[in-house]
Amino acid sequence: MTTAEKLTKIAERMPEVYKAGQKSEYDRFWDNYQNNGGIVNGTYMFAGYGWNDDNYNPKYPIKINSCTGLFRFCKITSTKVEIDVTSSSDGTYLFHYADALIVIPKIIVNEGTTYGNWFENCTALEEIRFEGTIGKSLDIHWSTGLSMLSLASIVGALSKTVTGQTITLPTTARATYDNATISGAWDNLVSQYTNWTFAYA
Amino acid sequence: MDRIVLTASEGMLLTNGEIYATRLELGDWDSPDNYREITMEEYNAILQREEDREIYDM
Repeated sequence: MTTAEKLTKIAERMPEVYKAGQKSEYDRFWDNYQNNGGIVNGTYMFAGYGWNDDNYNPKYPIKINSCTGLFRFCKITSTKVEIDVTSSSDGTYLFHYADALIVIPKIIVNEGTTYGNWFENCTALEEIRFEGTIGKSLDIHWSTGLSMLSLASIVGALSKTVTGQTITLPTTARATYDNATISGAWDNLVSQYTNWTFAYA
Repeated sequence: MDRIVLTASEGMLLTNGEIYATRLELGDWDSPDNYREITMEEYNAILQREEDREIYDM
């Protein structure tokens, strides 16, 4: 092989080498930042205007033992991966002022999870899916564009045994749900949860 | 049993000091006595105090 042929061969492989370098750097950062997918302290982990769709690309599901301010003030549009807060003993400001956030594909909670100001000013949120049981008061009324499936997920996750708790929803909830199903469907749904006060704001 | 439904008057909100709403469908443990009406001005003043506290918390 001549030198010219060798140089051509090397040049041909440059994109491949570049991609491998990118992957290596991606792995190095996210393996470290996410503790190789293990439980991490999530306090303010993705908070602030600097986190956006370009740089937020988690490699693993998010498992945290503290969730205060996890996505506070961020500019991402989707949390992309599942978020498991069942090991978290605190719980304020999780999505506080994440006003670009449209999709939360899965959030895993348990009956002890608390929701202090989690969704304040989450005005763009449309899709959210809960897994587990909601056992404490939750206020998501800022998210006026929640889909029927999101509303069904929230209400469907409410504990049927707790008392003294309130779910606060946008005033659009009933119409959104009924328009996507049949008239009276919302009333039928919430009638299964007489242990909860439903507030609309 | 039908739920007790509370609806705020025009330009007012219902509150128990923690929840602010225009309409409430009470759970079987809840009572209308737990709520009172406030004006939007009162609500905005509460929000301002909350915001001041949140900034302090950051």
